[in-house]
Amino acid sequence: MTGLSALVRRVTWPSVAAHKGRSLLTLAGIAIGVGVFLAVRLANVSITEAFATSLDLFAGSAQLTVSRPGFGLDETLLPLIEADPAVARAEPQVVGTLVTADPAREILLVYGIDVLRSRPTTASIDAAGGDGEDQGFLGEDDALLVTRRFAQGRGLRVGDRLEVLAGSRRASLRIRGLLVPAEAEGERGGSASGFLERTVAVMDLAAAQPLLDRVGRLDAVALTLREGADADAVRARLTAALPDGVVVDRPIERSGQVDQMLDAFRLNLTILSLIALLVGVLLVYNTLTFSVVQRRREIGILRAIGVSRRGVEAAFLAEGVAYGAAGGLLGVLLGLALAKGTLGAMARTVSVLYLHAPVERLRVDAGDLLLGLAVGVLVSAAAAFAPARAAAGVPPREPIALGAARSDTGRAGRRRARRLALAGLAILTFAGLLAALPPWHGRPLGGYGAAFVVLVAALLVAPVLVLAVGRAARPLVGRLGGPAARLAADHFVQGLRRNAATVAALSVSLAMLVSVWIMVSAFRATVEAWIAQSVRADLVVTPAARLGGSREASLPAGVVERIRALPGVAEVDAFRGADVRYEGSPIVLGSGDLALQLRRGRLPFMAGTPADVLDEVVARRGALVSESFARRFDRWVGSTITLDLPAGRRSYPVVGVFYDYTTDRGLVVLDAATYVADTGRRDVQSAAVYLEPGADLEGARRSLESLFGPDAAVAVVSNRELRARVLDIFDQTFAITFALELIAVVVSAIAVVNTLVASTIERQAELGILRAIGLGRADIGRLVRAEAGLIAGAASLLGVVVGIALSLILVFVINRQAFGWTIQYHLPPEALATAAALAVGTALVAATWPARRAAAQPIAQAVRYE
Amino acid sequence: MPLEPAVSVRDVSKVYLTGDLRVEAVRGVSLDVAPGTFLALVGPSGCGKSTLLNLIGALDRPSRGDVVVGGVSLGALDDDGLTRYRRQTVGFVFQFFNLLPSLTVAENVALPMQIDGRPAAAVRERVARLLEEVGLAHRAGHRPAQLSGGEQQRVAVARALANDPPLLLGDEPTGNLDTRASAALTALFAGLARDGRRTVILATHSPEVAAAADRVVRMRDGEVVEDAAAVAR
Repeated sequence: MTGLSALVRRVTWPSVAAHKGRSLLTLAGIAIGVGVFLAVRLANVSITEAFATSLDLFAGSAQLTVSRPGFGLDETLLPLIEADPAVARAEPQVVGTLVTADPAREILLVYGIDVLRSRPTTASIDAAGGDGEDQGFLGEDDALLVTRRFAQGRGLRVGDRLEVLAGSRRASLRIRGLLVPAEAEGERGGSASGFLERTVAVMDLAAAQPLLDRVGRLDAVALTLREGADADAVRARLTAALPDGVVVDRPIERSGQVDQMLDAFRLNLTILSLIALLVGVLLVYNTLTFSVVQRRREIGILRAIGVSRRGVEAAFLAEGVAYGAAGGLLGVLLGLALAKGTLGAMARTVSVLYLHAPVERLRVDAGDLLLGLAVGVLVSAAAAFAPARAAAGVPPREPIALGAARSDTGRAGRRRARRLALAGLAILTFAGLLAALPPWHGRPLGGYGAAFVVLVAALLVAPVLVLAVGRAARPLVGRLGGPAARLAADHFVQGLRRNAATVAALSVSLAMLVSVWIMVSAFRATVEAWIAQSVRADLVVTPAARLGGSREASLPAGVVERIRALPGVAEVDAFRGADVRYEGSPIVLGSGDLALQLRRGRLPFMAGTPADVLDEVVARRGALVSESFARRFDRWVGSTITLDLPAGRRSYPVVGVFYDYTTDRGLVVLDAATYVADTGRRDVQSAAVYLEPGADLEGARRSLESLFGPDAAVAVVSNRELRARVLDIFDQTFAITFALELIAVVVSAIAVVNTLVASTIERQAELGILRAIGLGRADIGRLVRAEAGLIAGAASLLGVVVGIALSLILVFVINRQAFGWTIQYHLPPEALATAAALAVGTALVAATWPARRAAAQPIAQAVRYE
Repeated sequence: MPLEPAVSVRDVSKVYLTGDLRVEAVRGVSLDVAPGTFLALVGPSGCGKSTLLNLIGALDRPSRGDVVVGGVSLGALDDDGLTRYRRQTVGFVFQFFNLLPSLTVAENVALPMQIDGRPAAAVRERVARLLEEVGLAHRAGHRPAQLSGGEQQRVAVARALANDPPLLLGDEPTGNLDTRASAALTALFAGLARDGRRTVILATHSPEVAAAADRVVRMRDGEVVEDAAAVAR
């Protein structure tokens, strides 16, 4: 051990310290990789925990909750629940969203609670002027409690009014108290459980029900059981006593539902974050490989004076571990900063796609930070393994050779490169097998595995590609750039290992960028075509709160009839929907005027023809299901689905499967009459308005807007605006994905800098000779840039080919299995061209400093370098 | 009336700073070399002969003083001017041959001419002639690693002569060669100076090389301590 520490102190450290630039770049690469990985993990965890703690706010001590997903629990069931002898306390609540009426359009997650029965378990109430112990004042029907931070942020005080959009109305509420985290009364309060997201608010149940469109209904009843009661027995008793569709579960299971819903989304981001890490690994490999090559002589001398193979190997592994530890530490800091920066964007995406995420605080625990550090160390150690082995293989008394680094392009090196490439091609078969696997618990693990194998294959093919590109490019670049450029081609081939690692790093990051680009672009085109077909209405009327992000707001009663009566209106299609469960998983149940939709050609069918489908929907009370539903639950035309609805348990034959990209949970659509009959719900979430031919769009919009009166908060959106909005949401959703891929390209740019600097150090003497025989500084710069260009060329070639392969896996395996979406595949040529240009641009920018450095080298010193 | 010197070194000093250490490698050296001279710079290791050679070859700039070659002051040249000077006026031969290992013998010799932008046909022809001159025509397609030390050094000489420079500099060119190869190379250098068109300056430890030179300049501690015409030719 002391031997190793002496080696590290005398051999490893001086080399790391002597090549500060290279060491720092390597650290930066690991730090970025670890940082991105950690940031995505922290954001994911924070969002999940935000759901969990918001569920805890009023049910922290409850052992069971009773709920009725989608339709709410009839409040007349409350006495039945309370009658159970084991129930000590039953606390009814509704939870919904209000949107502030100001341009900020902040979403408040509002809990309506029975002020006589409930008090928050993770917060206390500070009612300046009121009595903290007596919550009676809360019973007023415009009373609202907001968090102290929310009030402070907006300069609001107790007694002030807050204007909000509630469903399709405006309402003015009075702030009657402030919520403060329970455990610590301080501003930055407490542990995770005592933390209050800023946008949580509380009202009295009786006031909240009409405001949140839940008159007579409850979202949940939290049950505290008597001491010694058997929760499972109570659960069984209540389930039997309550109507079908009522769910009795433990609070933890409710957050489990959220987990399940977000699973695909989170897994996807995590996998993408690993790419930056993979590029970081290649960077460490690249640095250490060069370090070994450059220090062969030193290693030979060490071996000659009695250092064992194992000792040499350990010293290089230690170098890798040290890079991993230091880079990991920086990465943890970077990850914290990145997570803070991206949490908002991720929460918005989750809110738009799944459900309102009341998250703004980053949850960080020591375990995550240690994980980040450990990941840094482990991946660096893994990357150091091969170079350390190579170092251990250096024989004692390595000859003091000229250009000692040229050992890897001999016949053995070429043979090795060919063998690796053959292995790479061979494992592609394995990728094909993995891609053909069915999803595992809804997760496309086979697809991810296949993508990983393809990336590994790319790494294995890189050395042969370097040889081939170098050889093919030599005469060409010679003709274009003269003898100096031809030397660049030689350098490129001679630094086979190092250049192969760099080409691999750059091409892996490019491949990911290309594949995500192709996938997103094909997906976008698919969605665009789909909207063009499915959104045919001239105008859509929807509650303003819905556009603000509230998922449950609905239109005022009777609105459809009033719209229908307006002059110029031909037809109106009312959309109703609810989040329900099917086989225990959250899905969306919706309804519309199917006759109208089929007549207007709105539903793009995957299976079944419109005319037959319409007959069956009406005649057999059939259901249409979205592709994502059909794939997730394997229910196709001919199957039957059973739902527990307020009217009781109902079964529907599946009569058609249609393409839909609004939700990956799965959508079941019933005819309006069936829906209203079976759910008892008449409220309409939005209305699609078709105008008479030749009717004036703006005139119709104005008369629609005036229909609702001054207190209404209803938005009238034109077809074009709606399409633009959908695509906006789409672009927002993929913004994070793109950012992650671009980060990977940045990391690989570091690898290019590293390689070029290494190449110029290694060839210092050669560059000196070239200068001595009359090459100018500018020529030396050109030489370095030409080498960068070759790296970029090889990487573009590999990156584009691998990117196309990955995009096929993404589109046909991963997306289909994770989200249940069919994407019409097409190759956007601009993506391929831009990726190649990006590679060349990245490499040339990366070459700037190495080129300048090489050109500035004093000649006399360089020629003495041997 | 003496001819204008081919090389005129005027009160040249070179100071290296390494950390706090100040090393004066060349101290106030002045030297005029007539065209067609075969001059040997001799002296113990570290006496400053390589540094002086580098200053004459514009691989380095003096801290003080000036070098004038063919009537042109190197101190007055900018970076491009010095590059052109190295390309067209000087040929350099190093101790460790310093051929580019990835290029063939012919490509190594052709490189300075290609850098100078000569037409390909002219380059091919001159490469053939130079290799003929140094007796390596049959090795044109080989890589440096396939050649003996003496052969490699003769390729280096051919490369140094590629652009037909009036000044040929060599830093210990025979230092890595056996006695026979060394003698052959010395004869080659002497022959190159003999026609009077070319000045040859070699830094050397070898008494045989010094013995073959027209003039021997001995240095010690950065200064010229002896300057004499060789007795025997």
